[in-house]
Amino acid sequence: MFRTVVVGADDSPTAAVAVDAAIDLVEQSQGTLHVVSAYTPVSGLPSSVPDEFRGTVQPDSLVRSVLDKHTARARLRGVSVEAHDRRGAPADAVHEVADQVDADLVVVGSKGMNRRVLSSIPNSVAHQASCAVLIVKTD
Amino acid sequence: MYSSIVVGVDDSPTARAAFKRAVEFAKMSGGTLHIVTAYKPHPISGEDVPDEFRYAVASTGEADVLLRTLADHASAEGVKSEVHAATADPADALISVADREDADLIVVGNKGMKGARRVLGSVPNSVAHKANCSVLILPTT
Repeated sequence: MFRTVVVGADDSPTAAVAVDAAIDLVEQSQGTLHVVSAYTPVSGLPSSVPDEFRGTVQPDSLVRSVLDKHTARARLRGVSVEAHDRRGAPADAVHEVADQVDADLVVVGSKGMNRRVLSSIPNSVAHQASCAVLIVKTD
Repeated sequence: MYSSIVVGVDDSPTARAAFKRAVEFAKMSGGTLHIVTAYKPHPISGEDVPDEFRYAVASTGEADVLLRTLADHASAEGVKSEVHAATADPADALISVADREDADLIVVGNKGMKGARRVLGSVPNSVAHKANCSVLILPTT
């Protein structure tokens, strides 16, 4: 029923619940899962950090390990999966990818995907999406 | 995957569209579909209907016809369903049926999720915020 599914995820256990729900649906439809994780670049690194290491301490490396973890679970279930890392706000990242891949479903956890952000990501996604939205109960 | 699915319906075309997709979803999941409609009791005209019957005659009949039609559609698709008519606010009706039936998913159309209704409140918005289970919001507008 949903062949192009976008799920937003971070490194939280609740995000894994949302990803699993998305995997279930894509497994059924034999479609493609797109896992999106967003990061905010760190500013103001101490000047003592040498340039060649600045990249490794920034959260984009964390985001890649998060994506690797989630895509690996999808592959274990035999689900076709693509990873997308995006700089910026999580809700915007999910929309951007959903538009880009012409998603028919966006899956988000009911709890904020990024605990440091105060505004609710599922709320923002639910209001802006032009496709179906599954808010997975994760708390 | 989802064994107990609640879907909210009314007699609008957008609700019908959401309902059809909910049936597809229940079929795929192999779950039972709980079809919920909420109606506002409104007095019917006709001098000869005694006051104590106006409420029941007016809207229960319409709700029952709607629910029966939709349950027939579900059953034609091989989906097991149960119907629930409520006089509560639509969002509250969906959530209370979902709680009672231990639902793992509520399906609603996205009517009122964008534009002015977003500020004023809408059924999908209330459901998304209050539900104790997962919520699927389908695009119908």
